[in-house]
Amino acid sequence: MRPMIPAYNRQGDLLASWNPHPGGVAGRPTFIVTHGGHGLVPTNFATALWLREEFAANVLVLDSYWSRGREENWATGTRYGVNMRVLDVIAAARWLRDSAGVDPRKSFLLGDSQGGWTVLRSFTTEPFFQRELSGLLRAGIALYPNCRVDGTTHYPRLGPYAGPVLIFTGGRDSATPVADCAPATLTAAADWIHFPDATHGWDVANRGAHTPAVDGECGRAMNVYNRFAVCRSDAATAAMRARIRSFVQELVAR
Amino acid sequence: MHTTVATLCQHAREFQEFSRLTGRLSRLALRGLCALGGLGLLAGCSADFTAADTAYFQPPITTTSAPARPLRES
Repeated sequence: MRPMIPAYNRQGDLLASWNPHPGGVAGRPTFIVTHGGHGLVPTNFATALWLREEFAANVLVLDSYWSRGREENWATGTRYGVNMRVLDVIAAARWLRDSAGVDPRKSFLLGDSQGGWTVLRSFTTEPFFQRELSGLLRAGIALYPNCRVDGTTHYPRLGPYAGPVLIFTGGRDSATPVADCAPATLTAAADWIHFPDATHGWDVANRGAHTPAVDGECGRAMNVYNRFAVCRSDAATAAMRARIRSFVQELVAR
Repeated sequence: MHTTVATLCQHAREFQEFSRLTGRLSRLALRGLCALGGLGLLAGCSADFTAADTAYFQPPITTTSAPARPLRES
C-alpha cells in the first residue's frame, strides 16, 4: 500500500495497492476492490487474490479511510460516507485509465458492505456521478451492501442504475439487513442473488488473506455501532464467486 | 412539479371554501392532507449531488498532506 491515487480534488493521494498482471496490463479485466465500514481487512485482499487468479486480472485495492487517518461506519451519517467513497472511485478509475493504461470497457468495481453501498451509489443515475464516471467502469458488484436511503446527502438515492450491477445479500445479515433495501434498489440490478442462511461477511477471510478460511466459524464485529455476527460460509462464497465469474465473463466477451 | 403544486393549491383553496360550510372536522382533515402532501413533496424533491457538494465530501487526506519527517535525525 502506498499513497498513489490523486484524490478527486487533487489535494493528496489515496492509499492503494496496485497489482498489474505480470503478463502486462493491456487486454485484461481490471478490478477496483473497495472496502467496507472497517477499512481494508484481510477479506479484501483475499478477494483481490481470487480476482487476480480467476480472471488473470489487474487489481487495484483502494483505501478511503486510513488515507484520512480514521475508520468509519455506515451508521455514523457523516461526510465520510457514500458520496465521499464515490469521489474516491472516480479518482481511482481515472488513474487506472490515464496512468495505468487499463481498458475501461473491462474495468469493474467490487465492494463489500459499505463498499457495496459505494458500488450501488456509483452506478445510480445521479447526473453528476454519471458524467464524471462516463466510460470509466463496465459494471459493478455489490456484496452485502448498506441500503439505507432517507433522501439526505448522507443517505442518498440508490438506483436505478446506469450500468450492469450484480448484488448479493444474506438473509441472516443483521448489519446491513436486506429489509433496509427498497425493492427497487434490488430489482433494478442486472441480477440480485440472496443467500437465505448467510450473515454479513459470509466470505470473511478468518485466517488471513493467504490461508484457507474456516467454514462455519462465527465472530462478532468489534465496533460501538453494531456488533453484528459474521459467519464464514464456504457454500455461499463459492456460489457468489461462480455468479461473479459468469457475470464478468459475459460482459468481457461482448 | 410547479404545475402539480399549483393544482394542489387550487384544490386546497376550493376545499377550504367548502370546509367553511362544513365545519371544523373538515378543516382538520384538510390540515392532515396538507401535512401528508408536504412530506411527500419533500421526499420527492431531494436535491441531486452537484459540483458544489464535492468540497464537503472530500475530507483532507492525512497520508500525504503533512510533510514527511525522518524517523531519526542523522
